[in-house]
Amino acid sequence: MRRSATSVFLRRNALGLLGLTILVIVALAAIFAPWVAPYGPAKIDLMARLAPPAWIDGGSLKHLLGTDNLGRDILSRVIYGAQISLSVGAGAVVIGALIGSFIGLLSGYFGGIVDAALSFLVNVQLAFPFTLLAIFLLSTFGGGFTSVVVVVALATWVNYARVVRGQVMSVKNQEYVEAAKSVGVPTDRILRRYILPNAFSSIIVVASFSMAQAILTEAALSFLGVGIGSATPSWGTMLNDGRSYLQNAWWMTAMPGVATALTVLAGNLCGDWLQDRIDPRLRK
Amino acid sequence: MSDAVLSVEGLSVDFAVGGSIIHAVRDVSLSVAQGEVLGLVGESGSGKSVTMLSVVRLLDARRTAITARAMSVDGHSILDLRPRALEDVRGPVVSYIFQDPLTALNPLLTVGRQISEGMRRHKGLSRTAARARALDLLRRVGIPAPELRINQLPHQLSGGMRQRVMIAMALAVEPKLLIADEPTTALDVTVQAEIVRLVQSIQREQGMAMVWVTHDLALLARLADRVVVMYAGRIVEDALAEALYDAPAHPYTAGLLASTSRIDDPFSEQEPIPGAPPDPRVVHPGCSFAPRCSRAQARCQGEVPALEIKADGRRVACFYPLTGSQT
Amino acid sequence: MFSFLSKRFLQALLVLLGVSFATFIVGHLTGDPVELMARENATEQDKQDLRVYLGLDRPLEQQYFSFIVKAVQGDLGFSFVQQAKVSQLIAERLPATLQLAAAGFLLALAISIPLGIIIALNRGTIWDFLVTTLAMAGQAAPGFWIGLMLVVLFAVHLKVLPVSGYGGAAYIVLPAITLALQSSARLTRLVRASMLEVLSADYIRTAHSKGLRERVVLFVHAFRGAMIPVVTMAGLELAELVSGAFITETIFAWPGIGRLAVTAVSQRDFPVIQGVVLMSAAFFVLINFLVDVLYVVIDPRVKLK
Repeated sequence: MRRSATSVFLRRNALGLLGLTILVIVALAAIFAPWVAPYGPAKIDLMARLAPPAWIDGGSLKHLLGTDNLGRDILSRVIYGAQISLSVGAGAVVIGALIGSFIGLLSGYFGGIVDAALSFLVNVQLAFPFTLLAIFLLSTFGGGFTSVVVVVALATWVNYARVVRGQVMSVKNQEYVEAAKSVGVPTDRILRRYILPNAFSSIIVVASFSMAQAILTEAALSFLGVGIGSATPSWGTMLNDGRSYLQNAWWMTAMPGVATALTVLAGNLCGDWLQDRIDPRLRK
Repeated sequence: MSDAVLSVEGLSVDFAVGGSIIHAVRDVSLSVAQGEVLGLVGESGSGKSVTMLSVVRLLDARRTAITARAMSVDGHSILDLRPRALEDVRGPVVSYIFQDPLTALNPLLTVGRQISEGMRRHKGLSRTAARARALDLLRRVGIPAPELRINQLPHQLSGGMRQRVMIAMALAVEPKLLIADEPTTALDVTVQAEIVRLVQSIQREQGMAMVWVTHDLALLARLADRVVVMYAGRIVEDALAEALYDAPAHPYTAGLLASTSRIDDPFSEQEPIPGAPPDPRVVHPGCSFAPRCSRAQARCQGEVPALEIKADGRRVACFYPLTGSQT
Repeated sequence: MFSFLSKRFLQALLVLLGVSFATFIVGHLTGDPVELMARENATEQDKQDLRVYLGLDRPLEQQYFSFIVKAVQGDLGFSFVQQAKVSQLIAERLPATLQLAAAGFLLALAISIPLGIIIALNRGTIWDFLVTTLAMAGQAAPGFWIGLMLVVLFAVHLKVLPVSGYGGAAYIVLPAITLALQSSARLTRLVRASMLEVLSADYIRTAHSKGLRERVVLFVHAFRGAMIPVVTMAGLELAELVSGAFITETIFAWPGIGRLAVTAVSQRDFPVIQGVVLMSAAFFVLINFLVDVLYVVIDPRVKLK
């Protein structure tokens, strides 16, 4: 009996658990990079430049995924790259969720002119060509971790605003809220205690999708050369490096791309899973 | 019964729902004769709608398994029909009136289009001929200003009018068997009676066979020639309407009658049946009604009573039926 | 219907005004164009003269007003870096971008609609599983990375398509696929879900109960309803494609407005950036408006709202 319950659980949640497992592995690799990675991310070995991955002729087990144009070990750089990609993703999720939820909360609760003004803001933001806006801001104000996180958060706050607004509108006229109002509970407390908790599960769902979107955005920006330029590579930076060597070292581009795709896929799987589990209404 | 329009023998329908199997209909046998009006009554989940939907296999074939010893409509052996042949039976042989006309009508197509398409398909009418006949039908089901309505969309009509459209649609191809699945449940109380009267008058005019599917036993008193009562996927009683109302034999039927207000005595006391219908996923070794039955004995818990034919032609599935008339 | 659309039209104009204002403000916050333009040995007086000449000495609201008036007349300013009118620079590059976006969009629709319908009809089969998995993977991989991998495969190894550049039909293949892949993945999943939802609707059962042919049920009754959410999404995807063109055009050296803008950013050529932002925003707003119009056409219920 117990065993069959476990197997039913596994079957229903297989994809979600797969996503979660990948995310945990990537996160652990990022945290323990110095112990996991065979080399330092910037360790140059000019003798072993552009070595192909181990399973290809000319490759060796010393560099499992090959090396780049400076002889740096790609596996190590991918592992260290997870640090940047994940922390940008996490930072952007937190900032985006804060801004977006706040705006969605106000917009949904007060309605009327506030809603119209904030919806207008959302529409203006959506009409902006985001990639262009991002490279413009980053090249004007300079790159660096904080700027990238803020800019990436700019790309995702709208998602939260929309979902939270919808949730708030659906609960704000419920009797328990009316009751709280009628006994004089202050508005900020109503918002925090009575309204916002209803939107938490939706926020978590949006967050897991936004995490994936943030990682993709960071990769695109670094690829265009306006991301975080530092000794520690991000996957986007590695993709940018690899571009000039497409002709003779495809692995320089392939490996960080696979890492990005896997992580994003894991984030999306978790998102789908959470959505089905805790908030199927968001499906549409 | 050679003149039976619908004849079902040993029908079972199983659903696959999230890893478990639901036996929605179990070993159901019934028949409807030419011109007969059959009332099929039961609580929601009793399998009454599923039984009628399987008559022309309208259930999602991916998730349902229909088995029967024999099932035929107007001589067509339904379970052996290929998809194309099945399409020819749907409409001219069996038509449906569904419960909620708002969801059962396509929101994107005009009323006229939805009435005409069946006629064009089955009668080979031209677009103009089908439209002319659709206008007649709209008039016939009592829709005012049909020239205007025919070009409108379902949501531009009131609930009662939508159901009239549904009826016109079902009548368009002159079916031999009309199945009305709770046709008034989704409507305002005030229009319910009108719709019932409309369907009744049309049935009498055309003399087609008909099945009313409903949970309302009181409603059937005026409409049905014969009543079949279902509980938890099985038929528990099948009797001529008069006999059934006079003297229900199955305790469940008696309970249903006691829980509905009677037309002749609306102020009589109503007694709900205690308990709730069983979980359809659990296969019960005995009579499904036993847990709620005041007459149940030890035998009812361990053995399923067969549907037996009594002297007066009535069929009852009970070891301890009520005999004689109720007080 | 008219009031619905005219309301949407006004909203669109307002949004455009908002974008232009934001762009204008950002332009003024990010540095004095005179400092960038003037020669190195220019005196304060020279700079001041230049300011007066450019109208930069006037109050902000006046500057914004004349900027709008000119923009409406099609004058988007002058690029000192490239010594050309912005409107002319954009006009030169626009056809290439539109070509690429159109090719990518049509490809995305041509892949996703039939594929989505087919796997919806065969749900639960191995094909459904394969396509859905592939679509999820396609959504997860960065679009430009897939583009680069396609270059490695088709241009570097197989040598059947050019690596980059602009010219004959062969040149558009890889950029168009790159642009279309992510949209196709998203749209395929949406078409599938939307089709499945419609197919389980009561009115589809009604259509079956009337004995209509399977293809009539599918294409007359189900298809149209299923396309309603797809139209909205496809509109957003088209806007996304134009935005995604910034990276794709850079990778494939495609001479469109995306590359124009990316170059302009690196050269701090603000009038060009501003022009491209306005253009893209106008395009986005226009597409959304067209989606609304299309909505009214395919979903007659909207007319009454």
